Amino acid sequence: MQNPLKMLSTGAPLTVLMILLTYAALNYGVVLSTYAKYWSIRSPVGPLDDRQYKPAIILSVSETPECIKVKLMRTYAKPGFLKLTTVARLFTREGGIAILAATIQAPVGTLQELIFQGGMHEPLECVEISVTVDSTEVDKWSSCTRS
Amino acid sequence: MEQLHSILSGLALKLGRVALGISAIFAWAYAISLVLPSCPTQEGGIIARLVTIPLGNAGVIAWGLLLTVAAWRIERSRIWSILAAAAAVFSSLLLGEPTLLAMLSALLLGLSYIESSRACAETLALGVIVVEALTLIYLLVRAYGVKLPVPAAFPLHLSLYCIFTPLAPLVALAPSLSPLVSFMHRKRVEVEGGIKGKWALAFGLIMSCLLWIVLYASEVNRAAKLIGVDSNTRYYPHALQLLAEGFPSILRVGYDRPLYYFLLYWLARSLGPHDAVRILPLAALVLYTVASYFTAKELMGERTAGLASLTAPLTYTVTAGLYGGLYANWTALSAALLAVTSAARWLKQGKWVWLVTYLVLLIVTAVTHVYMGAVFFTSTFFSMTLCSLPKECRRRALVALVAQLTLAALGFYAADSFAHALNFRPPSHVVSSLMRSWLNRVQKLQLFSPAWWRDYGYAIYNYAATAALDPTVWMFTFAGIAVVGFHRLSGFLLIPWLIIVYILSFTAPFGLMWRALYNFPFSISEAIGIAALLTIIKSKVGRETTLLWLTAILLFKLNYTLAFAIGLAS
Repeated sequence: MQNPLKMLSTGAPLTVLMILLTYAALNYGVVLSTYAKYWSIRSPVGPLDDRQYKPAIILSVSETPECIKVKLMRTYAKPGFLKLTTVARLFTREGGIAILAATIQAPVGTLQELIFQGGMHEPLECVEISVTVDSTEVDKWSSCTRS
Repeated sequence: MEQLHSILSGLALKLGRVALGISAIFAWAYAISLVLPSCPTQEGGIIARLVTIPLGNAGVIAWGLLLTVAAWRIERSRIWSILAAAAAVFSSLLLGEPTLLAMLSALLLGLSYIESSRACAETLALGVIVVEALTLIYLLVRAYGVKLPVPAAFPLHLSLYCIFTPLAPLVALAPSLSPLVSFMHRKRVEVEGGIKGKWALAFGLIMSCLLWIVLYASEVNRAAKLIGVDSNTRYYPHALQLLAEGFPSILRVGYDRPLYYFLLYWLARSLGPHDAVRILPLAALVLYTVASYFTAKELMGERTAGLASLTAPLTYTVTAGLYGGLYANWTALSAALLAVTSAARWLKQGKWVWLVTYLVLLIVTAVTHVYMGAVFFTSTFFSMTLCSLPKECRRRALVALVAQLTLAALGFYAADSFAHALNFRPPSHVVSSLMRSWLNRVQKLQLFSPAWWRDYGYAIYNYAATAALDPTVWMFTFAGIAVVGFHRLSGFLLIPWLIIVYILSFTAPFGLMWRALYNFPFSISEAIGIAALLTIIKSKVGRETTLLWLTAILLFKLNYTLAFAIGLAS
């Protein structure tokens, strides 16, 4: 049997360490798959898009019978503006208007999704969405054809 | 006239390098945005921030101008370079992607490297400095709600480290291998790099105050809410309880950190409970910076001490400490650092006053935070055993070892008797319950298995709330411990500490893995690592470039910590 003290001076501990590190690396995939959500969100706006000079951009609006989903991007522009208010004006076919608003403190460089519920008791004619940052309107979206 | 010409050409050269440095970082950020389009950061929880360079059409033209300035100094192919820059701008505008601009930036940087490695190193350092300086302005504008348009440099800062985020748990583990590297690398490495101490200490203290101001006196925390988990769940309610029940309740309420609760009680009586808890992180920041300075000065000399006082407010201890509100642990860590300083003086000089100071500070550490005290006692036990191996300090190390073992035994006996008499939880119960939970975990431990990685990943990304994602902490610690080796007293004092902390981190119960890492003074190991890196840079590219890299590293770390603090306060 080899002397354990002699083994220490040979490459045996290093071999054990290498096997352990290989085993660790092989099992590391679980971290990559679990936390990929943090580094795989792609910006829907290209680097040359001039809209990024605005503090916030409306990316999409989708209407369902129950709610209205608004996807926004808080860009890196004007970091001093902290509060972002989104106002949804819902025009019904009968001529009524419902106004819904949400104010959030959106971190710069993030995608946000707002869901507006309520105020949708009657069929909608069209929807107008506007985003204001510290009481300045920065972007708006409308499905209304008439002014 | 000739002198003016040489000054102007020197300025033009520097300007060209700055322009190329910024262009190179633009190119890097663009490449990162294609591979890893978002990065986890802290802002009211963990959020994925987009790594995108908001250029717009004007930004593309600005990038083209930067490349023109950078290309101007290539005399042989000036016209071709400028034409290439113009073509790259035109194609980027046409295609809507700045691919050619990025490629041209990389090409020019490559040419700069072929020309001279020193020029290339200086170019990159200047680029990082400009980007980080703009990021600093950006972050301050954000913190104070200043409604001014500023260049959006923050995503460029993110791109500098986000490439490491998928590997963060691996990177955070890397220092555990550094004692082995240190053991295998028998040759003594000289560490000469650094910065003069007193001024650096002053800057370190200013940065400590700046972080606290951002937390509690900025626009993002206008309501002055308490920051940190323990601030809200432990210190504030306990401060109210201490005030209501009076001085005798200190031992009952704060049985595992009585000295710290004495401080809390005194502050709450003087300032009121809310302000008392608000002041705790400032006290911890300042004390840790000062303690890091003195310890590094004793172990590695004045220049490394300067670095330690600059890195102290910008390391994992601070980010994790602010997030968790781990003020007692943090303060105990500072006391442990001062104990190390005293121990080093005792071992070097043999003056009894330093042995007494060491023993007193050992007690202070334990009564400020029992868990930290237990970790530190174990590490110093092994340190003193190691120190007793070389002949020169054998007797002193053995005296310290016997003294601290005796003190621990007597201290435990006295504290337990006292606790039983006064009806509060004795320290032996605290330690044994911690050991029980650890042993339960160890029995089921499957190191590096998928389940273990899942837990460790959660500890690094979620529990530590992105505090562990600054790769420089782990990289410089790896380098620092590898360099310090078993050739110096600092190695005997720091290496057992690091090994114990990592063993605890590997084997800790699920929620304590990130906390276990908290008990090592990363400011010291980072400072040694940076000093070693600066020594290498200085030998290869000279003093001026070394200073530029030091500035770049410190600005990066400042912005990482500042962004983290703003995220916490938001």
